[in-house]
Amino acid sequence: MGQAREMANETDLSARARQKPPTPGWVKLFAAIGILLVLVVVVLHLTGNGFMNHGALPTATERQP
Amino acid sequence: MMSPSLRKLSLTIHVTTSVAWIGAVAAFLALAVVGVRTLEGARVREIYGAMDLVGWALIVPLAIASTASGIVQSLGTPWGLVRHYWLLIKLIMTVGSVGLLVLHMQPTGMIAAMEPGHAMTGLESVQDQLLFDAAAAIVVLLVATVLSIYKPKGMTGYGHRKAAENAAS
Repeated sequence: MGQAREMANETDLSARARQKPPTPGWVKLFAAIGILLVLVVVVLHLTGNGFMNHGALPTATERQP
Repeated sequence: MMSPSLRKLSLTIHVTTSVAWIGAVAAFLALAVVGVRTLEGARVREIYGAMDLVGWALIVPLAIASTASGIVQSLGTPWGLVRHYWLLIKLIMTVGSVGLLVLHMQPTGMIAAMEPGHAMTGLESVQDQLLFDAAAAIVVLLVATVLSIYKPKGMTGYGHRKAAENAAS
């Protein structure tokens, strides 16, 4: 009886050890900020409201005031 | 796992290159601020020439060295690379920053190489982008520094499984 209870306790302990702990709040906050930033950059690039194209300077005619 | 002396050497390289990376980005940011406020063509070319030099000769090599030494440091110690959330987030931030850095470095050289007769008008978006990039890089590096010092608690699923395996064996 005692042995069975001990085995059950061990099983319970190993199951708890395998169980993934909840994700900390600060990680969720970082993930939310990261996703938001990526979305903002993607939307700005797609709508053409962002900064210049990578490595491409405005042409001479585009630079005219 | 690394021996204690090798671990200290690796940590020294990682801290030195990381601190130098922040310093080089701060210099880049200062030049970007001056560049945005400068209108005179020859001076603009000088400033962006200096930014190009700081970027390719300091920031890019230091960023790569810091990231690589950080990865070596993580893999050679019980911390692991993806066992703790703070390390995983730091890895994602630094690898992403290095990628964006290399992608966004071209304009400095292009402005520096512009012919003297060229009008410098219409470059505001390029100059603003470089200023934004430098400011964002400082923020990312400061966040990475805070994460490294505070090491906030939290293990990933992989880290938890590994810890359970180690405890069982």
